[in-house]
Amino acid sequence: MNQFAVFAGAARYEFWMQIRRRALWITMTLIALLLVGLIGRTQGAQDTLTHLGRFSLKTVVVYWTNFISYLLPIGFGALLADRLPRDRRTKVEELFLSMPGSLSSRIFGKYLGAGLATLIPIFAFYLLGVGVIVAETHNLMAIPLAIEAFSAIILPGLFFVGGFSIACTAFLWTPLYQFLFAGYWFWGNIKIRNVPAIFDYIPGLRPMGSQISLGLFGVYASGNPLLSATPLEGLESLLLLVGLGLLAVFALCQGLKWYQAQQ
Amino acid sequence: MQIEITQLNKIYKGNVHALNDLNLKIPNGMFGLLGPNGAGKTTLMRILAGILRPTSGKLLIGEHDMSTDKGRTAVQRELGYLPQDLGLYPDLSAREFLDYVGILKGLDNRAYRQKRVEQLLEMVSLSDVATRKLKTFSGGMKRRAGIAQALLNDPKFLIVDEPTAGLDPEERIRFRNLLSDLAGDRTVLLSTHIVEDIAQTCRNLAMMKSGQNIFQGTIPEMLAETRGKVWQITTEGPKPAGNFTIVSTLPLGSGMQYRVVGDPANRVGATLAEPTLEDAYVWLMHKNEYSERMIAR
Amino acid sequence: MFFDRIRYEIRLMGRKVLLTPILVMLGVGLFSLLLKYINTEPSRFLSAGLEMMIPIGAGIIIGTVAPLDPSLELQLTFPRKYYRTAMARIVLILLCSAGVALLSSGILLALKLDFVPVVEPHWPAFAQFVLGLLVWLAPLLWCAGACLCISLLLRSRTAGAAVLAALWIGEILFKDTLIATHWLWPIYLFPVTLTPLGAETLPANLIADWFTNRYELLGTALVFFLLGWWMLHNTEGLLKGASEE
Repeated sequence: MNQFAVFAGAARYEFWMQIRRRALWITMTLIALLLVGLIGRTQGAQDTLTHLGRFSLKTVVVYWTNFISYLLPIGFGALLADRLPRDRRTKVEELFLSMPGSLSSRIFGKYLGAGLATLIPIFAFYLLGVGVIVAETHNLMAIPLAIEAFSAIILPGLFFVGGFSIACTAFLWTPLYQFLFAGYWFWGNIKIRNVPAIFDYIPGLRPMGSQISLGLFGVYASGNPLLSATPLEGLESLLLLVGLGLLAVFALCQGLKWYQAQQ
Repeated sequence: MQIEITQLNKIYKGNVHALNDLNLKIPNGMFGLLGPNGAGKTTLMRILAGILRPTSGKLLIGEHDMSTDKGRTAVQRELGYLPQDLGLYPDLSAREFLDYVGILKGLDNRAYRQKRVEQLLEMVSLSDVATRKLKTFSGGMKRRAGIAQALLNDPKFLIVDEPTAGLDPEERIRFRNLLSDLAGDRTVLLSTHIVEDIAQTCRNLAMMKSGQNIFQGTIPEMLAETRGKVWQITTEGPKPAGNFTIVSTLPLGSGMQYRVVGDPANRVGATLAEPTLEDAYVWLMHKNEYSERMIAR
Repeated sequence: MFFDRIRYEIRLMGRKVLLTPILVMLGVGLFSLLLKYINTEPSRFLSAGLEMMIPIGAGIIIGTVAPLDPSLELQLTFPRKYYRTAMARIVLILLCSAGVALLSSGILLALKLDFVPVVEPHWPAFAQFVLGLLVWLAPLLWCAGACLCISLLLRSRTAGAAVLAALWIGEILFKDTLIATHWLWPIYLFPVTLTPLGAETLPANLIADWFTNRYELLGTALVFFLLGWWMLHNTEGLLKGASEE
C-alpha cells in the first residue's frame, strides 16, 4: 500500500474531524479574547500597537507575532492532546491497527492533519491583527512580513507542542499531560529569578519563539529575559523546535510498534 | 404499566425530525418495537427513559406525566433500562457493578441489595464469573450483566434497546428466553431491527419508520395484512423486475426461484405464498412506495 | 450506603485522580530541594505549588471527570440523578486537593517555609490560619468551578483545560496589568506568589484589598458551581457532549 496515500488520507480525515469541532473555534476565540483583553491593558503593548507610526513595520509585526505565541499555543497543545486517546475511547484504534497502512504514516498524518486544523483559528486571529496593522500603516508589505514572522516564530513552537501533545498522551492520562504542559509553558519560556530552567542549558529550547524573534528579526519579546541572540542562534532554535516535535512523533511510532509486537 | 404516547415530536438541532407526531399505546407484557436504523426507536426509548425531553406531545407512563420532573423521577424509580450502547465500568467486577447500580437505584439496605445482586447474577448465569473484571467479559456476558442491572429494582417497566445486536445465535436465543421469562406482569419494551427477535418473543408490536408509527397490532394481524402480497416466481430467464422487493433468491437446478413482496405485474410463473414476519416487515416498510408507483402508472 | 457509594466513586474515578495532587506537591517538594541545593530560597516556589499548581490540576481534573461517565446513558436513567453523582465526584476531588494543600501548608509552617502575607504581629492564631487557607482555597475553588463550567458549556473536556491553562499563563505573563487594573482583581488568582505578598508585613489597606480579592474569587467560584450544577441537569446536553468530543 502506498504509504503517502495512507499519510494523506489520515491527514485529511483528522483535519476535517478537528476543524468541525465547535469547541476548537470557541476555545481559540476565548483565548484570543483573553489575550486581547490583557494586551489592551498592558502599557508597553498599547504604546507599540496604538502608535504604529513610531515603530518600524518589522517591529510592530514581530511584536504582534510574539503576543500570539504567548497564549494561543496553549490552546493548540491542549486541543491536540485528546486526539490519540479519542481513538482509544471510540474504539477505532483497534480498527486502524488491523489496517494494512503503516502505523507511522497514520500517526504522522494525524499529527499534520489535526495540527493544521487547530492552526487555522490561530492564523485567522493573527491575520485579523495584521489587517489592523495594514489599515493603520497603509503598508501592504506587512502581509508578507507577517507570513514570514508567523512561519518562523510561531510554527516551530507549534510543531514542538503538537508533537509532544500527540506523543505524550499515548502513555499519560490526558488531564495530567495538560497540567504538565501548562506548567512547562510557564517554566520552559519564562525565566523565574534563581530558578533553573531547561533553556539555561539548551538555549534554543524556547517554544514561545523568543530566541527566533530576537535572532532572526532583532525584536525583543516582552516578558522574556533573553537579551541577545544571533541569527544563527535563532535558526538553531527554529530547527531544534521542529526537530524535537518530529522526534516526539517518531518516538511515539516506534513505541507503538514495539507495544504492538509485544501483544 | 400502560404507556400512552400522543402526537409526540422530537426535533433535534438542524431541524432533524426524529419523531413525527407519533401515536402509540403500549399495553402490559412484552411489546416489540420494530423499525430500520434511523427510524427514531432509540430517541423514543430515551424519551421513555426520561433522558431526552420531547419537543411537543403527550407521554403518560402509568399515571405519570413524563413532561414533568416529578413524573420522570417517578417513572425512573420503576424503570429498568438496557441501552443499545451499554458502557460499563471496565475495572469493576460484575458483582461490584451491580452493587453500585443498586445504590444508584435507591436500594439502600446493604443486606437486601447484596442478596438481590446474588439472585440476579444467578439468574443471568454470571455467578461463576462475578469477581472477574467487566473488561474481560465477552459481548454476551456484558449484555447479561446489563440486563441484570436493569432488573435490580424489580422494575415494572423494562426498556431494552437492540439487546441482541452482536450476539452469537446461542446467546441470542438465551437472551430472548430471558426476556420472555421476565415479561410476566411487567411492560417490556423490546426495540430492535431484527425481525426474528420480535417473532420469537412478542405478541404485540409496533413498526416505526421516519419517526412515525406505521403499524400497531399483533403478529397475526401483521401477517394478515401482508397476505396476498407475497409471491414466489420461478424463472429460467432474467431476474424479474417490477413493483416489488425481492426478499430471497433460491437457485434451482435449471432456473431461479425468487420470493417477492409487492405486486408483480406479470404473474406468469408466480404463485402466492404464505407471508412470514420478515415479508410483513418488508411490505409495511414499502407499502406506500408500491401504492405511489401504482398510481404513477 | 454512604461509605459504599464513596468507595465506589473513588474506584470509578481511579487512583490517578486522587494521586495527582499528591504527586504535584511531591514534585514541587523535590524541585524545592534542588533549589535549596543551589542556594535559592524555596519558600516562594513551595507557595506556588499550593497557590498555583494544585488549583489548576484540580480544575483540569474536574473539567475532565464531571461531564463524562463510561455508563453515562445508564446513569441518566437512575432515580439518583447524575448531577448529584457528578457533584459527589467533584467534592471528592476538591477534598483530596484541599487535604493535600492543608497538609503541605502545615508541613511548610512547621519547617518555617511558609509564604503567606503577615498582617500584624498579634493576629489571633485562627485568623492567621484562615489567612493561610485563603491563599490556596480561593484559587482552588475558582479554577475548579471555571473549568467545570467551560467543559460543560463547550461540551468539550479539553476546551475547559485549554482555557484554564491559557488563563493561568495569562495571569503570570500579565500580572502587572492585573495588579494595575482594579476591576480585574476579581480574576487575580495568585497574588501571593506573583506579587509577591508573601512573607511581607502588609499595610492595613493592602490587607483589606487582599481579603476583598479572596471573597470575590470565592463568590465567583460559587456562581460557577451553581452554573455547573444547573448545566449538569441538562441530560440531553451531557449525552450529546459525550458523543461530540
